[in-house]
Amino acid sequence: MRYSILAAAIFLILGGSFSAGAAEPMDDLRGPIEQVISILKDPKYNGSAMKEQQRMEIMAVIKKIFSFYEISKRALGRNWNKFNIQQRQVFEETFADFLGYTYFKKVRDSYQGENVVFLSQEKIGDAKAVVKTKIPRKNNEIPLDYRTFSKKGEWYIYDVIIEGVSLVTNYRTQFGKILGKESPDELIERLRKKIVEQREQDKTTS
Amino acid sequence: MNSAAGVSLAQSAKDFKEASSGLPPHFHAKAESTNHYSSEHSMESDNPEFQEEDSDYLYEDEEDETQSYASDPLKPFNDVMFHFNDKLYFWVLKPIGRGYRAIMPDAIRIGIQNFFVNLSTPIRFVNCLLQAKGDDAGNEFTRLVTNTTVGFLGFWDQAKAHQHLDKKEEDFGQTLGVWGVESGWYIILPFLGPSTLRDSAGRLGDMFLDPLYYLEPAELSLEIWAVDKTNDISFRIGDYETIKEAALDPYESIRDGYLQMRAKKVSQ
Repeated sequence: MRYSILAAAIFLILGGSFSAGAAEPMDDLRGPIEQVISILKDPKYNGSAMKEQQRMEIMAVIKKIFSFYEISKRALGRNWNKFNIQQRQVFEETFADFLGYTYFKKVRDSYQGENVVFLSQEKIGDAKAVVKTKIPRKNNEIPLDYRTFSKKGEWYIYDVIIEGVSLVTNYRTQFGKILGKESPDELIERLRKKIVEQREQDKTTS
Repeated sequence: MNSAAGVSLAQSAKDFKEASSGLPPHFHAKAESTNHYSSEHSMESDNPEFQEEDSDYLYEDEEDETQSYASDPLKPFNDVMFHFNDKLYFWVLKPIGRGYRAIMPDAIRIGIQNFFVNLSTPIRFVNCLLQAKGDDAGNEFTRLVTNTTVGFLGFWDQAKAHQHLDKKEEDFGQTLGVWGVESGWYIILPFLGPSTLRDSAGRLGDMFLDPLYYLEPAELSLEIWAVDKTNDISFRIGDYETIKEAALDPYESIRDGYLQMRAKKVSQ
């Protein structure tokens, strides 16, 4: 009896860790990304009144697989050290919202029922992987790669590469330029202003 | 963190006000100790390998960074050209592109695009050869033969549809890069947009491989070029706006994006 309980315990612990270790980055991303697409396709969000609802539901899914902490840290690069803990937290949330607004608007405006095609995954050691996808369009296709890292057997995105351009590196260049002249709070304020701008634009166009 | 984005925006705005309103220090200390941020972040990587490499994150891609910051001595000129191209797009190219898109069916626009892509095969073919990419050159040659015949002078991309042959985007700027020529100064060309000294030289070289260049009279070749560009723009309306809207510093964003994209293409 004792032994069988022990065996069961070992099985549970090992089995659990095996299944966690066996999680593949592509599988971890596939579900949530397909969920985002189904929210985009769902006709119940048609019409501008449901826009905000749709954006919030997509953001909720996005926040499960994107590590905005890592994204923020990397997008600030060396300047991360200039931010105190509170500024880091506020920056992370503001940057996440900024990216959410910007790209949701773009995706919603130009979405024409495309699906994401998962091409391959390349592991870099145990802790990092690149998941390659593409989005077929009318006359071309957009290559979209996700850089991911693993945490407790699950994979999170810390960079997106669109047609060979790393989003994080692109923002790091811009943030570096701005932080050469301005303070962390001023940078956060700039992001906040962009969000307000986009919300107002959204209202006038809808 | 799991709160809906709208709520978290309000929350972060609140945080921001609190942070900047000069609260007494003990308040901050308390706020920090209950803050999950300072103790354990929910999404922070705990994988030792990632962490270890993580300590270098500050310097990751440092080369990219320095490369991207480096050598923009033409900035004053580029600023003027950036502004010029920006206005050119919004005042001229975009309205033309939209009008064109409104009257031309998708199928025809795609056909015209295919036709011009097929016509410019010599540029890609020769540059594949110059980069010693024999298979890719063969790929381009097969595409040319298939699309010019079965694809009715290139209007249909039959090679892609049936033989699954994608075009290989090679140009002389990339060839020079493969040969070890550095990209050189960043330069924004009027009408043509972002480039570098190397890629500008590349454009010039490719011009001689473009059949359109040899059309007589020169006006005709310019007119056809305009059709090509108008057709092209009709597919890309909105892209520039997106990049601009997503940027805090559009000039730097586009510069970095261009340099990253070209570096990637040269490495492929």
